[in-house]
Amino acid sequence: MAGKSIAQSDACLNMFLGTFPTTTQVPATTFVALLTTNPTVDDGTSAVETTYTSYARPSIVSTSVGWNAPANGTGQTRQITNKLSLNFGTAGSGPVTITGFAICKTSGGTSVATAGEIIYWNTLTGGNQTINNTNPVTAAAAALIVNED
Amino acid sequence: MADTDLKVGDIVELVDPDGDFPEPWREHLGKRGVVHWLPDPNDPAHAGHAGVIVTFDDPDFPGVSTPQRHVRKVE
Repeated sequence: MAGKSIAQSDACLNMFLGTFPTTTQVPATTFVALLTTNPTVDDGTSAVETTYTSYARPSIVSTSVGWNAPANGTGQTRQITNKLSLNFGTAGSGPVTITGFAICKTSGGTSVATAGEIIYWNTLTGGNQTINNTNPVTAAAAALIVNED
Repeated sequence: MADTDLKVGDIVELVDPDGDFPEPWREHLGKRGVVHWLPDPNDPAHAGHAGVIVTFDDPDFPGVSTPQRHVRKVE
């Protein structure tokens, strides 16, 4: 199910035990990965990241420069969205089908399938997106939605 | 070639030296902004990252996270 990874869920739950999330759990800078297989388990180990030529995870700072303030989402949820436009690199190969995105702790040196690398993931609004060779791959401001219910 | 000798706080403009600047952003080529973030060479989590975050004084386009070669420092 889309949402927080196990590690992130535990970080939130541990607040009730007096232990608050640290910068190791939500770093000062996170990186956005595009997925070709979404996680099927919440430890993220089943996720697969795209590898088209020229792909790179863009960075987002964990401040009001990187994210808009919380706002109402769908139903009873609350959400934040990205404030910056993100460039994932113009595709030098393809086609690939993107099924979701993941907020990650590292710039790409750690696989999304490594437990704890993904902080949060979600599907794409509007469904899967096919990227063809030479397509620019960007996310507009407010395109990434992080929900909390 | 885009300037890669960047520092946080530098004034930069968006450029397209390699012809791969994202098409949806092309209207913003030449736009000037401020470097807000660069990879920390001492942080292993940033290893190999060649990106930059630039903010603009434009409520409709407040900033980008893009490769450093898409910006050039304004002298």
